[in-house]
Amino acid sequence: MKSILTLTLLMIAAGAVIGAANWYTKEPIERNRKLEELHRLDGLVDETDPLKLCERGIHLLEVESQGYGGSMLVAIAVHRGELLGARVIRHSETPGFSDVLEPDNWMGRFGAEPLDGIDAVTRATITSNAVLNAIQSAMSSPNWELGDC
Amino acid sequence: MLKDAIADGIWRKNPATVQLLGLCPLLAVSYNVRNALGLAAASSFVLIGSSLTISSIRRIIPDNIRLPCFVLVIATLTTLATMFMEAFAFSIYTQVALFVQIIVTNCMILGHIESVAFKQPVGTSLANAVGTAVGFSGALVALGTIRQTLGPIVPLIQQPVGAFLTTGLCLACLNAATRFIDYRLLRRASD
Repeated sequence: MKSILTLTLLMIAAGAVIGAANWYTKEPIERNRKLEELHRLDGLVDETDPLKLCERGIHLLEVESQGYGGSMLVAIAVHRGELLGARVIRHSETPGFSDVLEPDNWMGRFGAEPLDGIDAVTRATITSNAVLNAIQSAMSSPNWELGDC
Repeated sequence: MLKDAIADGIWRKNPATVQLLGLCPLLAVSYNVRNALGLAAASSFVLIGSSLTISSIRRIIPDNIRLPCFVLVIATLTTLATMFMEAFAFSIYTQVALFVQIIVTNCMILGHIESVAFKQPVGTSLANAVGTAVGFSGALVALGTIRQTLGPIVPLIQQPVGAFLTTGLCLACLNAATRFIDYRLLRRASD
């Protein structure tokens, strides 16, 4: 009986402490996470709240694709059915070959040029094809057109 | 008392180099000094905090449920450390988050609480915890410094393999030094 009581009291105390800390750290943590998300998207959009983006006609999708070194995650921004741009958020491609995934490299052509004019990069075929596949699959299955804000 | 405890924590009873406890984070994040400092701070906070808490409530904790109580206190403090790091030291947090979370299962802390904090008064266990924390942080930061400095010369040292090699070599040197000093003390005593 004493064991149960002690443990219960300890748990209540622990819960109270964590609750207080959560109240205190909630705002900075949310701010940090948002900044981190924007940082990962590297100038693709200036807002990550889906609702606010949707009101401006922008949809942000994340598509997983198979690259050379494993799966990669591609973020794709679509503005009223037109490709706005894309960024690779996470990948495990070979260093050096992954340079094409930088926004100021090949990756930056998405959104700036018509999609069917962009070919894979010769020396990084599998890596760049993974990106192309992700974007094409996102554009050809436009589930983002169905939803209202 | 505090001085002896810190000296013990750094040298004779160093949790990392003598007791070989808490090596998982030590090996994982010691590739640079910044991460090492971040994890050292979090570990020290949990170690000292839980030591204080357990030591002050040791009389009301029944013996048969002491382990759940220890884990509860350690987990609470680890959660606090995670929250505060994520809120106020986000760039370090993104690097060491996983290893801060597994401080919960760090045997150095649990061992310290079981063998010292649960049996000794607050003052003694605080001094002991500070000593252990200083020793652990020292080992972590030293390893981080070595690996960061030698990294550009021998890239292998920055790799996970390098952590084992560097730690092993450091332990060998420290053991040799300890034996040498013990030998000298023994000779002086017999003369």
